[in-house]
Amino acid sequence: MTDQLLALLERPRTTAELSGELKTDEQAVEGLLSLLGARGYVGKAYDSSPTCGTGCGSCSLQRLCPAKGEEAPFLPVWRLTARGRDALLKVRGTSTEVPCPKVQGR
Amino acid sequence: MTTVCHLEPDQNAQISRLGGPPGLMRRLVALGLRPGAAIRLVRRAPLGGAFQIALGDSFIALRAQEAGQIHLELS
Amino acid sequence: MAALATARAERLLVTVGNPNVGKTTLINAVSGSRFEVGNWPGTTVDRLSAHCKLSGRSVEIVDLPGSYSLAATTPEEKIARDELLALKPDLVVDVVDAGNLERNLYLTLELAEMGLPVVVALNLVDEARAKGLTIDADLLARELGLAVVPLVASRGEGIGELCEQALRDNPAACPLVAYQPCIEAAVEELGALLEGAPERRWLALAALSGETVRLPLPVAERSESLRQKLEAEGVDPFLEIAGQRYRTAHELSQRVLDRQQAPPQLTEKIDRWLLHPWLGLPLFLAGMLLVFRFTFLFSDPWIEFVGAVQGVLAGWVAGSALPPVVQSFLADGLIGGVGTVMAFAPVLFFLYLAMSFAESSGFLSRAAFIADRVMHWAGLPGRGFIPLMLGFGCNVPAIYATRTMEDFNDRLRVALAIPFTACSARLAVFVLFAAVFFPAQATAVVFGLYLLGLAAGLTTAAILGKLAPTGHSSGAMELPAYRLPTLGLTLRQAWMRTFAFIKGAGGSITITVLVIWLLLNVGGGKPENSLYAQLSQLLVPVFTPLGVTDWRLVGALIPGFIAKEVVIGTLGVSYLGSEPVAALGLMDGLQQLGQSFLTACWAFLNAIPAMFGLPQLAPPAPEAPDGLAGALGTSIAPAGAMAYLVFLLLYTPCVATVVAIRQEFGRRWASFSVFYQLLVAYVLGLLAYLVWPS
Ligand SMILES: Nc1nc2c(ncn2[C@@H]2O[C@H](COP(=O)(O)OP(=O)(O)O)[C@@H](O)[C@H]2O)c(=O)[nH]1
Ligand SMILES: [Mg+2]
Repeated sequence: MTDQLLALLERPRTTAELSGELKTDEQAVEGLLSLLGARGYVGKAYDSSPTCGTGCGSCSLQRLCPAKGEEAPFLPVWRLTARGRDALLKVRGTSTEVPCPKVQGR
Repeated sequence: MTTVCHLEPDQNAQISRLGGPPGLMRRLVALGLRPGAAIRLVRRAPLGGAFQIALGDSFIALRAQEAGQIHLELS
Repeated sequence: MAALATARAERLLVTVGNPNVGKTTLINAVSGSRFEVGNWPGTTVDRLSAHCKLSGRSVEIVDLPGSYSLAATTPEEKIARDELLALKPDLVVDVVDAGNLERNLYLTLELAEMGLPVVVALNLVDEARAKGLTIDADLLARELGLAVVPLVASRGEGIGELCEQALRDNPAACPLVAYQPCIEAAVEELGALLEGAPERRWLALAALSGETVRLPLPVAERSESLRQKLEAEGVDPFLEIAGQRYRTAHELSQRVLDRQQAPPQLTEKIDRWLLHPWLGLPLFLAGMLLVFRFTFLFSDPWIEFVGAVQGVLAGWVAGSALPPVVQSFLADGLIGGVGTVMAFAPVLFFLYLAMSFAESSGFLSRAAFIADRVMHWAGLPGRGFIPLMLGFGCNVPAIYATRTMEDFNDRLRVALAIPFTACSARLAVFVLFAAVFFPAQATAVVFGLYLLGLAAGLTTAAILGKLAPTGHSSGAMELPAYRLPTLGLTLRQAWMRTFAFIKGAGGSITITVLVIWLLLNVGGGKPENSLYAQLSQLLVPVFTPLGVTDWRLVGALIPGFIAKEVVIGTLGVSYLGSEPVAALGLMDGLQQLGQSFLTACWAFLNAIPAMFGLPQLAPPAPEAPDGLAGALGTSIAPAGAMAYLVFLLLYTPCVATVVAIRQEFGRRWASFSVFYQLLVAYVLGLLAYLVWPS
């Protein structure tokens, strides 16, 4: 479940989106996120800076982003931290190169 | 690229982009209408004023101008 | 410290659970409110404990701080974890929110790994049921291998069974989560080093996850090297362990949860009719009629009963040796005031019942969907249509029903529009006047007044919307799956809302009735000399432009503020004089009470088949006192009567409605509503007088 969650967070998402993808309860996802957050794997997108640290091109919420002038984040949007990205890559067994997320679906 | 307004009943599509003012987008995202989500048009309401769409197992009602802000890729 | 000073109780219980799942409520219920509050040593976190006797055995219960997990990510969780390990309780009561099972089970799974005896207190079952969730408690107990007690702690339900469980010698819980082989191997190796500690599995898992737990140095070193080995193999033990626990909690909750909703296919089938492009609106209107019919048929017997009780009480007062003024004060003022409040209760209760049902079954959202288009031109969301329609039944619950709307401005606009709609109380007056002055077009006149009220309300909402544009009234909303609400919950919800009205508005309404009693009774025995008559006569010039010149008609508008149907009674008294109340003996009164109660019950039962009889919009108009029709016919011309009706339709909401607006939106808006409606009523009344052919 954590692998899936980390993989989904390659692009910033809200808990509603995550629970929809994981077909699980939103509250439960929140619980897992706070657990992962406490250990530094994930973070809220705008906690430390107005940007979330990912390529905007991939983001479904860029129109709502503070980096684009929107005042405050409206829903908590979660993203991977550097540690979370490392963990994800390790799980996948791929290189340490951070892949540039693709722009929208195919 | 079309919007929900142009769907026929029972037609499936995938959301590609949301438009409109931030307030509306918030509302839509909170309802689970986010880029990438697969939807199906269930019906248009009386007089074509509103739309009912299916998202997974749940149903969502939209006004015409809101439906027009949900851009789609047909699937 | 206090806990150390007293001898340790025979049994030590601890409660653990997520925040706000009712742990404190539960301890309160078990111990009978005898608990002590302090702080956990060295912190500001509340420590709550209770000593009590259960079946003669002394028991101590300690409430551990609310925790989502034992990973100790917050100070509260750290306390909970450390105390669990240190206290070695005889039983852990794991309080679980039944409405949020998946998230709560995570902690349960961790507790099971600690090797402590655990019983699951499945709390908040009522709220879960309200969400349409039922949990198979027996299945959950079998899956967990633990005792599970369903509870509604706030009402003490299930506490008895929990107390029994609390005294039983429950065995230690068995671990329920199976991890990947590589993790299991590591856990086993570390567990062997911790031989003898019942919590060794949990400790090993915590150490592998990289949490700070107190371990003998060799074990700590070994676990660190195992952890690094796993990471080198591409396994993050923390992620693996947390993920596996969540997956297990998810699967468990899926197995024991039953979402009581119609499957999507059935929901779609029902929607095919209810949201049909052409049938939808008529079906919806028919539904509204059914709601009114239900309300009036079932509440009418009880309103009559309230009236009968009032009559008996007044009769007793009349039979007493009190001076006449005091008698009148008690009978007309106090009993009348409380009676007015009580007469609202049945209507509200049944209307709320219908609304609760509509709300939790999923019909309300559909109605909003259908009405959205109609409401749009007034700049209102579809959800505003239902409160407006309810206003035709009674304005008071309609005001409260605006709560289903999200935006404050939208709510306010609908609430200010509602009192313009012609409630059933006004209908009684319309019917009487229409029969006297416009016998040929009575129906058209009444119907026209309905439309006028609705138009005035919607125009008000539209104008206010232009003046203070709201953010963006959104029509996007979820149409939830249909489900059958539980009867008990629906009844309780309706009762609680009715009770809230009586408690919140009863005082103000009674006081208003008393003030009006004072007006009527100060200044001499005859009605013509009373303060009321003088005040009415002062007001006559104001109403002369409307063609209303009789002080008795003008005056009746004043008590009409209590409830619009009071206008008829007042007119009767001031035109025909009041009949003295006959004195009643104690036994006679009791007999009358008993009889009217039986009558009410019988009428109530009869309402069930009547529901399916011919449609009827409102209860029949109360019988006007004999001769009132004739007296009215000579005191005013038809054009004036029309103006009077229009004024009556639109002027000041009744006191109960004003109180409802004050409760929901504050004093300012309540006063605004009163004055604004007076103005509108006057202007439109004047127009009606000028336009109506005389
Ligand atoms: N409806 C309902 N409410 C409950 C129940 N148990 C507790 N509550 C309410 O839930 C709220 C939180 O309870 P509390 O005991 O403070 O939770 P704690 O944080 O776990 O100690 C309070 O308002 C209680 O009245 C229950 O079984 N049903
Ligand atoms: Mg508490």
